[in-house]
Amino acid sequence: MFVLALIIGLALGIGITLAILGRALNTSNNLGDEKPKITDFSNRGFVMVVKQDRVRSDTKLDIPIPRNRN
Amino acid sequence: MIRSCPNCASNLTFNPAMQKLSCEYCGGSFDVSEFDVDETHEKETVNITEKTESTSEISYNVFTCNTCGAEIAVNSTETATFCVYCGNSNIIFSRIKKSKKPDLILPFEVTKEEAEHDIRKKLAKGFFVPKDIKNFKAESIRGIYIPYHISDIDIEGSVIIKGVKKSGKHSHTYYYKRDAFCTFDHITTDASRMLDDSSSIRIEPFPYYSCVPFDEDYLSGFYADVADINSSAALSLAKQRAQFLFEEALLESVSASSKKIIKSNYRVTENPKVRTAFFPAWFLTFRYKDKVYTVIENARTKKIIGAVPWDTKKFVGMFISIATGITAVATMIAYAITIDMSKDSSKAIMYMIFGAIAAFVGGVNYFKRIKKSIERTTAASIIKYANNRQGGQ
Repeated sequence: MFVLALIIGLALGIGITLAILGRALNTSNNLGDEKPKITDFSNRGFVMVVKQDRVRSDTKLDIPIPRNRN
Repeated sequence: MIRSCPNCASNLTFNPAMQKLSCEYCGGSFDVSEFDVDETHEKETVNITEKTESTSEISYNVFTCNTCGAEIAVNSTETATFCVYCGNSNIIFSRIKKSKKPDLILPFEVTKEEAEHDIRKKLAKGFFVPKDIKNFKAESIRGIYIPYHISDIDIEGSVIIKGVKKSGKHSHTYYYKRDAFCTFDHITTDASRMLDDSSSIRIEPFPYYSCVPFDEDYLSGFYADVADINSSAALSLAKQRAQFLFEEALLESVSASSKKIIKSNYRVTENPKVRTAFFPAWFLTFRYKDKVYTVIENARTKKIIGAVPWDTKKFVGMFISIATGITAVATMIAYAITIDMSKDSSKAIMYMIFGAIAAFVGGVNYFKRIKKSIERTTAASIIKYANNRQGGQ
């Protein structure tokens, strides 16, 4: 039983430590590794037209209205 | 050809702190708008001669320095460089004329000294950065204008997102409908094949609204390359990028532990007119354990990108101490649960085993991803981009 507990402990210890140190290493030595966001690029903004939660999986998708690019 | 000082005839270079052309010798400073553009074009056709030389591996062009007359080898896209012999700045106007002239330019705002100071400060804060790197001796600091394409894209879409929410021991699947549109007025894509895409994306964003109409005088004192990726390729890349950012924003609007788009209907409209702009960056190169590393600073936003090796001894020491602590605590908890042979404890043991496997696999994969990202950013291509140029700065 102790061996099983030790294996579990080791797996958790190594996994969690690698995740913590990986994050610290990324901040410390991998400069500028942030994921770009839509707000970094969109100058006229992102507009949510419809926001419906808990719909059916077979809900029909809307057909986007063509717009003139000006 | 480079602008000459009206007072002493020395070469003028663009001064980022003053946002003017300045003369190192007499201290004079002049607005870029003070000079007539047409006059420059006439001069360059007389002074610059171009001939192409090629070896079995690379092809390069040879230009004659306007100041000392020496021959300077430049790569196939360079438009602004320095003479390796006299150190003077040279702008290859014929190449700007022949190739597609950029529409816009974002002049340097951060000075060379500021860039070095910022990078030094940033690296000094890095916990795993070795001491030798924190006290680096810069081999070169080059101000380079990177060419970018700018596209306008509208994207409109309707999607169904599948999300899983956990509540206690149970998980529930829900579906979410999102309709949205987004207007990307100036989506930027790297127009240089030489600089790898991960670096050019990382160094963004650049403040587009500070761009000014292109003027060759802003190149004086810096390096620059013309675009070697065509506008149709840039437009298709911009569309992919817009769609990715759009999907990310839609997914972000759903709060669930795991989520993915299962159905989508998009309409992407683009403005066929793709513009080209020069964006400024400082490339600082230093040597550590006989290997060259490059750190880049956005010369407008001061964003610093790049990756440096880590202090292995410190990392291993931290790893052993943290892992030992977590292992000891986790082992004690696991042992306390395993010695209790009740029905509930067997379930708990199963959860612990799965949890341990997930933590191990997740931790190892995450660390591998970071390590790969650091290795990719320190790749030779970035160093080559900054270093395969004439000396001078």
